[in-house]
Amino acid sequence: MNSAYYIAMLIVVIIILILYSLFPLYDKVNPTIAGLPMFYWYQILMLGVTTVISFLVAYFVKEEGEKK
Amino acid sequence: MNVDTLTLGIFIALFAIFAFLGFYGARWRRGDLSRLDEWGLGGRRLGWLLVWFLMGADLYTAYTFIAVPELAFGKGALAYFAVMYVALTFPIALITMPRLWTVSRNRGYVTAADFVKDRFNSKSLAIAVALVGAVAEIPYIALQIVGMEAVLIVLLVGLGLPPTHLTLDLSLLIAFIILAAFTITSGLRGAALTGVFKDILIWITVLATIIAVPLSIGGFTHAFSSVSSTLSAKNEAKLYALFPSLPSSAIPAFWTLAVGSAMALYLYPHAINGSLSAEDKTKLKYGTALLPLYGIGLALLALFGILVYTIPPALSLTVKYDGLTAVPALLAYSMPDWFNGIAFLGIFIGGLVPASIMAIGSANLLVRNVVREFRDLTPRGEATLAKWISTAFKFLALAFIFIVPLNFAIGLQLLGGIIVLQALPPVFLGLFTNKLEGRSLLAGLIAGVVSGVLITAYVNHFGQLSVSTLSTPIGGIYIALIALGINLLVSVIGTIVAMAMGWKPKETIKEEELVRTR
Repeated sequence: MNSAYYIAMLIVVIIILILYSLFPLYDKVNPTIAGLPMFYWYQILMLGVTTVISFLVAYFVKEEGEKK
Repeated sequence: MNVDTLTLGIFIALFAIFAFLGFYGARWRRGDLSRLDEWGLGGRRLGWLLVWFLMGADLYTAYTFIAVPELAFGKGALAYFAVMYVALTFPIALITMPRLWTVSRNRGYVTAADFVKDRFNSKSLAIAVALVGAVAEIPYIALQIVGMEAVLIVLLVGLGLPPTHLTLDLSLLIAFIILAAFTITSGLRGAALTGVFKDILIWITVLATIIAVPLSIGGFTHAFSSVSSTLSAKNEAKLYALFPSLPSSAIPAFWTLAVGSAMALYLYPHAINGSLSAEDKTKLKYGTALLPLYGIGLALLALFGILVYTIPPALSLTVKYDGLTAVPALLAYSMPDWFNGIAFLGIFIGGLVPASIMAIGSANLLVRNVVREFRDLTPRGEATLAKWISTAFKFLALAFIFIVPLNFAIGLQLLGGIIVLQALPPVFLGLFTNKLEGRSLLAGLIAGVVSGVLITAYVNHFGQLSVSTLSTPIGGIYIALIALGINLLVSVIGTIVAMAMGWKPKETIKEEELVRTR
């Protein structure tokens, strides 16, 4: 299907938006990593998660006529 | 302070290499630089790694080195809205840019306004989109200049020279003349090549410092307790609540700043330019998907604004310049002199290269979509004019920071965001639907820009630029989103009225042309 890639990427955007909107989950000090409060390290970790899921979608969900 | 003549020597030597690469760019992957897409889009031949570097160069700007750490220095956790913004902006780009790239390749577009003109069959809408993009770049370029100044201040203080207007302006002027010269000769190729050089220096700086500094000062635990003791000594203990985590009252501001900035980034001419210069769609997607990794550096650099509290002399220097010098001051007092030569140059050209890319993007737009609508230009005349406009733009931005007094450097980027986000309906929505009417989109865009600028002026009491959010009963809301709401409302209502009067979308661009290249 032609729009599969765009739907998949829209779902990625929604997932990232949710992961960063879970303030009760991560907007706190403990647990810390090397003294860094969770509020900070959680967001850095999620950058890695974002990269992995967006790359997976770009890699596996191809548009019609796109080179493999 | 570990800034001396060796620091200066390394700074100057590396700047010479930087300038050489800038001029060498003209010979690299040679193309006919008298043509606009060769000069301004690097001949559309950039692979995924170069796209990654070029787009990363947009991210690793004075925004990252100066503005976000400054915000962290003053407001703690709130500064991390920039991390959420970086995480969101690339998936958004992955939805929009592949389609814009495809239609641009099929129909020979160089700018987003080219697309808007055909899509909505409206010259005036295209001119408006071009003007919005170009104008929004000015405060963003101005921010780069503020960043370069911050490095020069610390360099001059370290050398025992007073950072006066004369010494600062003179150094900036020399750097700008060199930059303008190689932008004219090499165009986007020069920017891409120097961008790679800059990013190598930056990664060395960020990684070495983020490991060395916390180790030498006793970890982040110590950093946060220094913040606490410093602020309570100044009777600002309440402010400390902003540091280790985000108070719930600040969540609406955090969230709207992040979402608004994320939607705005890929409307900037320089970001669209970077995407269109990709060699093929798959390379564009891979390069873009890997970009959130760049954000890790941004997140770490933001922490410098907190680490600086642990070194008293660096702290007092940073306080003196309202947080602007947090990163260079921390480096000056914690890293060896030779290292600071590398790091300072990295931050300095970290402002210069993006300023060049942004000026090229604006110039492309103004020539293609504004000047050419009123005057016939040969391809050669088009490229020549763009080169001169890009130069004029840099100096316009230089003037901007003298005219607009500012408190937080980040306010400059956020002001650009308020303006540029108003191009979202015609550009981003236009990529997926043509069922919006041109004149309504134009009215919406104008309503959005006017309301955004007026609300910004109002919340700052028509004075110094320091606030970018509007206080509402639910908390602070980034003005860009409020203006976008007004914009969308006008666009949609106008379209409904037009439809009721018998307007039908015209299909000048075939659906097929947005999907695959011929």
